[in-house]
Amino acid sequence: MRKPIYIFSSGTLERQQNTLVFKDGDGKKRYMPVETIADIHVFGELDFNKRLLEFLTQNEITLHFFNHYGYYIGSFYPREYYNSGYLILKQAEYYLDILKRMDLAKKFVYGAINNMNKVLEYYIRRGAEELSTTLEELSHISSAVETQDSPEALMAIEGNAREIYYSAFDIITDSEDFSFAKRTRRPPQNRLNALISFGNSLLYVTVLSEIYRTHLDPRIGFLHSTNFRRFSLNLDVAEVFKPIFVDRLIFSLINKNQLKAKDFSTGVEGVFLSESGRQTFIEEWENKLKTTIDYPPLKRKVSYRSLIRLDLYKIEKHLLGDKPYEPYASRW
Amino acid sequence: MEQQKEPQQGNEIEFYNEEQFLYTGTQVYYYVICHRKLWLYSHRVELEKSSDKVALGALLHETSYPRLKKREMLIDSLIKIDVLEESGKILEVKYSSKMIEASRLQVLYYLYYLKRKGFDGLVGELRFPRQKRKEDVILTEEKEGEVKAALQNIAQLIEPPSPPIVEWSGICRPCAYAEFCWG
Amino acid sequence: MFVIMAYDVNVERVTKVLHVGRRYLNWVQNSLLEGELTKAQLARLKADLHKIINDEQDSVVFYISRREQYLERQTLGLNKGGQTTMI
Repeated sequence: MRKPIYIFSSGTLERQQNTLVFKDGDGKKRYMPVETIADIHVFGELDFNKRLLEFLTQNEITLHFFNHYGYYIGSFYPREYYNSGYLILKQAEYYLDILKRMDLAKKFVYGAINNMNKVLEYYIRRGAEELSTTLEELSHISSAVETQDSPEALMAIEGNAREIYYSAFDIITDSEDFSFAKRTRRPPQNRLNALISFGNSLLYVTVLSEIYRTHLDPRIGFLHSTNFRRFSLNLDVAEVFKPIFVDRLIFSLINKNQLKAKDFSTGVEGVFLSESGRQTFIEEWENKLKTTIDYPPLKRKVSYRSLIRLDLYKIEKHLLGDKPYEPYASRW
Repeated sequence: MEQQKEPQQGNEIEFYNEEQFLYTGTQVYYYVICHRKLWLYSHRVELEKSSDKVALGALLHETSYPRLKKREMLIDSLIKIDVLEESGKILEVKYSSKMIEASRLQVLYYLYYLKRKGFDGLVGELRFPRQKRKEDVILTEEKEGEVKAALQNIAQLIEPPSPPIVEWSGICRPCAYAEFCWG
Repeated sequence: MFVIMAYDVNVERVTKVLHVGRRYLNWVQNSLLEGELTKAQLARLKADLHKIINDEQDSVVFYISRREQYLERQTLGLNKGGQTTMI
């Protein structure tokens, strides 16, 4: 199993003696084992050359870039790892046929709402009974999904669902430092929004890196419209996993006091996590992805990260007419 | 994988069909093991790269018998074979002898393929270095019939737009496709 | 599995062994590397090293633990290197 690397320092990334080396400003070298790296996430300022990109392509390593505020900028996605023309044609067919596209798009929305329910139910069991109203509102929204006939309308419904769900966050976290108020993006206006944005971008690139190791084309999404310039399939799949991967991690970080007000800064780009805050978040994020849970279909334990890959395989089977896609449903 | 081939001379024109030559050794091997795997692999829904077992097998192929003089040949950019330099035998190294039937048919297919190209009378050899075991493979008339039947079946099996329905069997557990099929 | 590799080889081959080791493992300190590998990665590392070392003069030792958690790592003095996800 290959692993991710996160680079926070600024410096140069190079190919040297057939492996990767990072040189920081003081010229200190840090070698990284090329054979065991899955992807590299770049947060610092990085210099590199084409020779490095060729080397990464050869070794099938993706590179993801984040800006000064920790938000996703873009990726270096080497030429395909696997390449099935047949499957890509099927993926395009399911995009172009509006009925097939809507069928898949709805599954992502159902999958997302279902996992939002699971998060709320957990806190209801722990005594936050007022969340039952939120749960009811969500089920109203959920019943409207089926009748939508355009991806745009479906996106709006998904937005409504998420708005209702987010309204529960203040009850779940119960922290003055992390009040939610409302969802604000680009830029996030408060700490909780900054955490959601940061966590979501980590999830987007994690899904993208997993897509790289399947036969799917990340440019063709179903819920999120394709414009062939940016990745969209990872956004679709991320919807299903946001509540159980990102939101649960945020609640845990806040409730265990692992992140505090001092881990954030405010700038023209709104509120964002400081470097130490990002490191804490990423450390827990990686721990979460490594955590294993029982997975009955395979009669063994699998990691959270593998759950993403398994959903991608399910989407492939859907496209091949093998078995209809059922998004991952958290059991608790 | 389109191939431009010289017209074959002489024998069995009535059977000859371009399509029947367009398979790799792996396809013939998978045909014996699992029809679903054959379908997926044939549609380039491959998963071999994600498997540690496959990587171990590839390494074994590269590193076993370093002192044996052999030459790797890719024929018609389709079949890849190791030829033993001294005896001219077609050598196939396998990690495990569990799938011996499939390995036999794969080597028989190589022999048949080469025979159609005019190289008659070649002999194959299977080697299982971990079990210290080897076996000669000879293309008899009966075996040739088996290869022909397999090639026809492969054509039919990979024709449908969707893969054959998944069925559990003991060989699923260690398979590189297990997460795809059962996850 | 978690692998610790220690080598004691002829000075002519020290650099070569280090270079191969660093493709798979993280440098810890002189002649010592560590990291998480799959079975096939370890097999390939050994095969790569085998091409370099002289069986009569050199020695490479691997300590293997099924999981990193089963192993406790303690350091006296400097912590020079090791496995990291963040740089």
